[in-house]
Amino acid sequence: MATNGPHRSGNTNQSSRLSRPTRIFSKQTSEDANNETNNTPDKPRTMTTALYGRFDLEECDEGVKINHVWDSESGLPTSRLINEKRPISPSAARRDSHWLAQQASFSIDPDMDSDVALMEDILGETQSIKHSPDPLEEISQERPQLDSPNQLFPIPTEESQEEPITETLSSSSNFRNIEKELKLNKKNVFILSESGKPIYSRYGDEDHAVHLFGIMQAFIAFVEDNKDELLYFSTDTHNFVFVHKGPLILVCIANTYEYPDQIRLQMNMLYNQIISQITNTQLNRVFQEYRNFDLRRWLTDRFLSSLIELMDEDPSYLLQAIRCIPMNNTLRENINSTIIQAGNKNKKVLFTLLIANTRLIAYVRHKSYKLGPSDILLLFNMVHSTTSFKNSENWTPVCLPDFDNRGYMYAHISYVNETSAMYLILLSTNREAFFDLKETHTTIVEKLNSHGYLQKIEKSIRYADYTMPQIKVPEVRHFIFKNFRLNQYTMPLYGPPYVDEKERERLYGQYLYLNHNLYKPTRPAKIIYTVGPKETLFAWIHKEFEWYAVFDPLISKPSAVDAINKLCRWMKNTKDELFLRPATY
Amino acid sequence: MSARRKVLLKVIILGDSGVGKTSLMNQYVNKRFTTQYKATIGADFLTKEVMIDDRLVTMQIWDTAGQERFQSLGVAFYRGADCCVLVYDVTQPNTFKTLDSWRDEFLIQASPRDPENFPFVVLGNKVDLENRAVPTRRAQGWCETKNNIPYFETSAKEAINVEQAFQAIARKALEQDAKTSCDIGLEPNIPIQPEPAKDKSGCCT
Repeated sequence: MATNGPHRSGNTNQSSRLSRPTRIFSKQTSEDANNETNNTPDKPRTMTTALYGRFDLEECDEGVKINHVWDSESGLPTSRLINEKRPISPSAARRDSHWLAQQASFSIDPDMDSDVALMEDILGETQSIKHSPDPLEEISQERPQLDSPNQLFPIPTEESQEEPITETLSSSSNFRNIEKELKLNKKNVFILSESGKPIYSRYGDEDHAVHLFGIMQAFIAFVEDNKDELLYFSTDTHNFVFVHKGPLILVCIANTYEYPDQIRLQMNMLYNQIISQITNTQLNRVFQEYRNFDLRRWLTDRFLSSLIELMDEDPSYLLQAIRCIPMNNTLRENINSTIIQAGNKNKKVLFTLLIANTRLIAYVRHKSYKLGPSDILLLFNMVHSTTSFKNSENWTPVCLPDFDNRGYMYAHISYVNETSAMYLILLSTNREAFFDLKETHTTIVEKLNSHGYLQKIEKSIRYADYTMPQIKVPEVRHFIFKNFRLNQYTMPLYGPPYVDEKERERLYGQYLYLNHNLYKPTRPAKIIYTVGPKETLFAWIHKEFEWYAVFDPLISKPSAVDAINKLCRWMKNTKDELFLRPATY
Repeated sequence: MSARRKVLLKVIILGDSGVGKTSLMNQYVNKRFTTQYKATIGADFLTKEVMIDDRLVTMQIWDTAGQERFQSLGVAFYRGADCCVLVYDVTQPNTFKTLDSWRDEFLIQASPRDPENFPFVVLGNKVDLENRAVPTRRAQGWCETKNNIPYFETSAKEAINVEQAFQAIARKALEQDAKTSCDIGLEPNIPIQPEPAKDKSGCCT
């Protein structure tokens, strides 16, 4: 049995956290553990076949080691594997445990004898997972209400953090420090090239994490060698999420409420952020020609760091939707017509966006072209992370990956005046259009000012946020509503009890959980209603909208439904103020 | 873009099993040597910072397994290297003979841009041993035929020539890196002629 295997011979009791099985998910493996036991090798392999790759993080006397289980032929746990349990020589085990904390190595032998024992371990484990026919029930079993992040992802205790990791080759390296840092930071993000060269690290100097980059590259390469794609693996505390896109590898090691799919979405946003600086064309070309290219020379770290921070708390990125400033409809029409008139003069503007901080005020587009929400979010981030835009007029090439990842658009970005949080982005495909766009900008600002619209907008910005008591649906504590057609969402200010940061974070965790269950690939839910100790959660996905809400934990189902209906009516009556409709040139 | 930008060099060490690849790396990075032999599994990664002409350079050294059963990962590991170090054991003629195939294998797998001029360094290790079997002249001759590969005779055990050899490796790698750095800039002029969106779902439709 597994417990007798050589992998268990290490100091597993000293660090139970590390000795727990670590699950790997690749494209061909399933999220649905229940399927594993039902699968036979004859069945065609689909997205939901069996879990057939697994790593086992384990502390042994030579450091941390990763074992893996893999049936490379069928890709499925087979009985042959289990029955043909071969004796494992101690020397082989010793050799395999050459996994050093300081000098990190990677083991790659799919036929390792000792895997057999671990394979049994998987099967034993998966059989113990119960199948629940009721999706709602299953959801609540799968994830009970969270009291604190520690409940879901227990943070390692002092002891396990302090536990010495044997270094057979000690001294110069700082691998141990890195490991400590990895645990301290809730969410680490690394970007590297396919050849394992560092590009970005959220914390610390990426040069100091090069051991780690080597291992990450090895992980990816190892799984891809089997014509598969590594998606993520999870330990008790952390999710390790991998995205291999184009010539880049993005890795996130997170101890947060986020689910791997949600983190993957974020990694894709980061990839797009890189594209927006250098275009897909140039990214691919440079790595085709120079595989050892150091991409850091082309990138501004600031954009990436700022985007990661925004994604940590701003639901826009999770929902892939824009939030706008609620505003009287007449005022919106007036602003639009001002923008259209100014833009029609030179015909060089494709898109105009009027923005305050990271919220949209007006959006006018050329009648044949559209911008996706992810591109607009990248523009928000670009301005958000560049303080110098405040004091100057800017003309910058920017690639909008969703619109066209091959080349640049040219953006004129300028605030309406020194004191305002409001800025205009004018986009053109003509790189010589600076003076035309500058003129358009000036005309728009002058007109808005002379008609008094600017003051009215400033007032709307001040009153942009609403609270639940204002809506007069006291049963609802907080909600997020996304309009699919417009790709926009709205939500009230956080009221009690979500006033301190910790509670807000916990609430966001609940939204992440609801979102995960609406979108998970296996059996996504349409409606979720679940009662927990701290709140009752509600989520509803409809072809026109997506809705998340939290109620008092003691609310009855009929009153909750009643409250949702009240909110629906309110939403219907105020939708023209809450959401903006784009005008066209 | 500044002259002071950080440089990271990827160096791959190749050679038959048991020639001392890991020992050389440990001697260089950790100043240690052990007579115990432990086969490398897959690959090990070590880093070392070196000063080269007032420039701080981080070497990311990939020590690969010499055993054949680990060769399937080659492509991934060899990719994007700035320098490749070929190691043989001066007491084992066979390990010298296979240098050719290691070099070819690397060039095929890594397919560098300019294979003729890709920087290699050859190390003849274990010169502290008495039963030497590959004469210096023979090794040098081979290196000359391969576009003058720099050649060093080292002993990981006695720390002979190790520092010098790795200095040369770093220098070679830096040259390779510099080649790719100076002539590629970011081109800000890639305008697009977007096609009108049909029914692509966009924001605020």
